[in-house]
Amino acid sequence: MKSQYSYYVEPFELKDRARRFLDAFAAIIKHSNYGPVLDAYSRMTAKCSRCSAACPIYLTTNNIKDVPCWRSELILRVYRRYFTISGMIKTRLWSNFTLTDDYIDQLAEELYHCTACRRCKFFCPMGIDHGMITHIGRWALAETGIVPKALVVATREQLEGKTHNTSAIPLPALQDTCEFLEGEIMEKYGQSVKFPVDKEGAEMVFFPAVSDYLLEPDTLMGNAAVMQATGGSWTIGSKYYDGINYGLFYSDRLWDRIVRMEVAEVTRLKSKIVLIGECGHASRSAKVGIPNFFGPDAPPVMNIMEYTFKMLETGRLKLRANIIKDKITYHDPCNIARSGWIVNQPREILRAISSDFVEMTPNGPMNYCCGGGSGTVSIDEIRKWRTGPGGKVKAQQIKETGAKYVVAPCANCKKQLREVIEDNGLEGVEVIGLHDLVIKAIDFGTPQKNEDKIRKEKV
Amino acid sequence: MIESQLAWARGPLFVFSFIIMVLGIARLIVLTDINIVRSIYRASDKRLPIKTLMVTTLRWLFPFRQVTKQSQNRLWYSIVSILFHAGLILTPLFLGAHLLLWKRGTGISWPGLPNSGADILALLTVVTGLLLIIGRVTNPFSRKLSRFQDFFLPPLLLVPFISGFLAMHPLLNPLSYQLMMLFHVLSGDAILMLIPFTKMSHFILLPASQLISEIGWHFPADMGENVGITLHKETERI
Repeated sequence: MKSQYSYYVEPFELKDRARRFLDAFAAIIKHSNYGPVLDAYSRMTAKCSRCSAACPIYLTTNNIKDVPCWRSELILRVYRRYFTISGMIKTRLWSNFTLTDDYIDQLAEELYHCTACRRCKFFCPMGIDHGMITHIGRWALAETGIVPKALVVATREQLEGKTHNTSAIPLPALQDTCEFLEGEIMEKYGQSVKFPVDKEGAEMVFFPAVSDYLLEPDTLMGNAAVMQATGGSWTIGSKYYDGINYGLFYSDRLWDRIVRMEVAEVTRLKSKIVLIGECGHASRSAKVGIPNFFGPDAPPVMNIMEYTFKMLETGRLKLRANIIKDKITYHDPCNIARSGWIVNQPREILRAISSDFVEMTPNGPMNYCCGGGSGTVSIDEIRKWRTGPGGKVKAQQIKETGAKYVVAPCANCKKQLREVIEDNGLEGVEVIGLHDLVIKAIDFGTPQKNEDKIRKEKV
Repeated sequence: MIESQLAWARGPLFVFSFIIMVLGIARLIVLTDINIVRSIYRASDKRLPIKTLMVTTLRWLFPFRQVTKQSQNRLWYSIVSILFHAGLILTPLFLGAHLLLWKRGTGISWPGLPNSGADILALLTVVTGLLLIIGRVTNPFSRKLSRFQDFFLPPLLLVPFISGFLAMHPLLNPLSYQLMMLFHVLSGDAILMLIPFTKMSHFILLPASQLISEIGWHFPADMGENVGITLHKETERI
């Protein structure tokens, strides 16, 4: 398949592109709160280039196009020209910038080189959130018809397809998987752990990144085991069970529609809490999206790591110390760590079970992105870009820790980091989820079942 | 001849530029405040992390941490820039001669710097300013990032400092006192007028920038739907 960009796109309307881009931009400014942000940014941006040293991609490519401020200017220029008085006056006085098809092509390319990890915000003296500018620009592009095909296809299945999830897993297959996982837990840990489906009145409805059901059985087994051990009241909804939300990456309009399905499922099951699995963007899209799209009465959002930590802290979850002897390190997914939301919880859990936990530097809210942020990880055709310029800094960071396991509690980070490790020649390093390790350390405190298991084994 | 021009620059032109600056700043403040209030009013999730916002705002208004904790990021650039800004703000506000003008014009006065202190601050501003200009011009990336105003403003900002310093030191001054003062006042007037319309307006907007960034992520509940309606895409399939 041919594409004018480094990623595949579905055929889109070429006629009147600039006009349609500006219409979309105008509509976005009108109905969102991004207008005042763009206004302030376009006045204040000082072009000091201090942000460049913050961006892992720039640090690798050394290309001016990867300086956050340079990329943001692409959008701010459009804003200044078409949406401010000074832009109007300047255009009448002398020839000013004009939005062309080529310029839109440039936007399409550059906005998908940014992973919207928002690390540069911490380094900008003006407090400019370059990730937000990428976010706005991509939305306007999407309304013009330009979105990476990988993202559209998944979102289409999620919103309009039969299975209502991005991996197109039908419900019977999901139930089979759950049964299989229950069997696995019984076999490996001698515990009867349930994946409850459609349990009305459960306190929490569980939305992992749906790809976990295909790719991360250990993480899911860990999630369920924690619930079992702590007596958590949870359920998986049969009508909707996907936490993934690519709307956050390219269109707030779809972001809205996707979180609505989560809330609808929580309401249908008469539950109270949206429980998100180990996934960065699923967590942020719900945490930020649900109270915004539903107002103050919306159901609260919780990440499974918050739950596990709370249980550990209150003593309801007993973990056996020093179970994990190998050296492990922790990768902070940008979407949950940048705001300082989930930084210490997983670390406390890891310290409780491991005897050799090392930090990457920098870490926490200042971490480096894995290189596959903002949906780019799903775009397989840009793997070279992601693991090269996008992932080199991360690979170096991992290498310096000397860890055997990188704990990355995020479906996207996991896929990306595995590819980074492969493409950058880091041998023997394994990427896993947090609950993959937790399940090994849970003290179920029910010796009876263990005896059952032993008896069974004897038989 | 020069006397009358100087009197004009100090008198009517100064008043004019000062009024432009005040009105321009007032417009900016009013517009920004309306924007902020309206955005928060429209936002469906109004819980702002006030404490974090205040801490980050103060940290960037007094960015001393940038030269200590996060020093791995452009340490020297940060130090030079902070010194430049300090000189830029303090010198005109606390110079004895300016204080006399304030007192004569408005009757308000406050303690000033001794002349030697003002000299040091002025020289510091000039030196750090020159370093910043050199940095911007010689670094190929900074150069490519820069717009016209990024090249134009820093030298303009240095003119009143250099001319003011020379006017105060007759032995170093190659021109007449009057002519030097004319440069000083004219460039000062130009700067005042340009503040609201250039990136210099960041000195008004900076205290609000963290808040503004945050309210971008707090939006009206029907934002997505309304954008769809405006673009006639309510029923369009993905």
